[in-house]
Amino acid sequence: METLVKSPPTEQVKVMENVEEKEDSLVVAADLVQVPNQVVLKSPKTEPVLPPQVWDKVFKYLPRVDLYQLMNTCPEWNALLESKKGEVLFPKVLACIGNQLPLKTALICRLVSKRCNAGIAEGRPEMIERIRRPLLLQHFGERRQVLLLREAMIMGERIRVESRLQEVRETLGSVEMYLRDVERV
Amino acid sequence: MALVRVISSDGAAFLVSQRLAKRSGKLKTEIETFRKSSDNSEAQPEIRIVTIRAEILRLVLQWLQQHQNDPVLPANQNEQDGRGDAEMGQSQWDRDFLAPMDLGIVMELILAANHLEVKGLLDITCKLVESKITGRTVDEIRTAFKLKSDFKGNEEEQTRLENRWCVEN
Repeated sequence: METLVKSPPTEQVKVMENVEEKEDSLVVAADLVQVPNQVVLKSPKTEPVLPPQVWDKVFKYLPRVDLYQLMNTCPEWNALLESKKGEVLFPKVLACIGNQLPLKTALICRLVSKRCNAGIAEGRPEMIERIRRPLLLQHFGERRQVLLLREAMIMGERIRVESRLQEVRETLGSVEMYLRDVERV
Repeated sequence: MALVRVISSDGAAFLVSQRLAKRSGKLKTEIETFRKSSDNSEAQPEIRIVTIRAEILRLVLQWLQQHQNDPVLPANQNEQDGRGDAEMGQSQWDRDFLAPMDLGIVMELILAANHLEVKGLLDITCKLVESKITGRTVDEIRTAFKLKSDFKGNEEEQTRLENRWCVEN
């Protein structure tokens, strides 16, 4: 890609100080980035200039994994790829937050698309391994079959407990709010 | 005040105080590496972040600036249950900070916070995305994130079969 890409000269220096002048520094930072308003109509500043439709064609020839890098290359390309963001970023996000999701949510995300499935597998490899094991039952001896089935059942139980816990949390929340109201009166 | 130059993937440079930058695990390591390799202790470190564009980097720095006096959370705290501390940690400022963002930006922020190792920001952004997917059906998630199913043949069925052990229906 490097040969194709000439990112626009956006070299700027601004100071993000912290101390007292908080208000000021935020304003300084705010005019730092030029986000194009006319997104689709603008082409990246490359030579020779190509219309957005042509870029679209060029992008199609690239393996998908490159799209995230393209988005980061310059604001114009980022805008061109706006509609692809979900497709490109969501699986990456799943890989990153997979182990924080409730089990049931993680399992549902696996069904969204192949790439989401891969994302979850990256973020939560131990879960995937565990749920796949029972499918291999016939390859194991009887003793291990029993163990594997028990493990699968424990997983299922954990999911039920998790959703129950969620309900309890919500109830607790409303009780707390009620108590606060009572205190105020 | 000691400063560090942080450069985004699209070439914008931010001058940040080192004290602030060191609240990001990644930048802290980079600054220390620079210190070790450079003879001149007065030299200003320059760090190029190749995976984060200026708009997102600005948001991360802005968040760091707002939270510069928070105690630093150990990275592995609450790993088992990421939901515990996020609830109390989320201030009104954070809510206002996240409110105007669309999902694309939030997802880019998650990847940036993960890369730069900014635990607090990762927590609040994750929580936001989690709230968008928990309790939804597969189709609802596809619509919300503009995704298409790319399963071929019986691949989807296979995945469903694997899930079956844990989810009834």
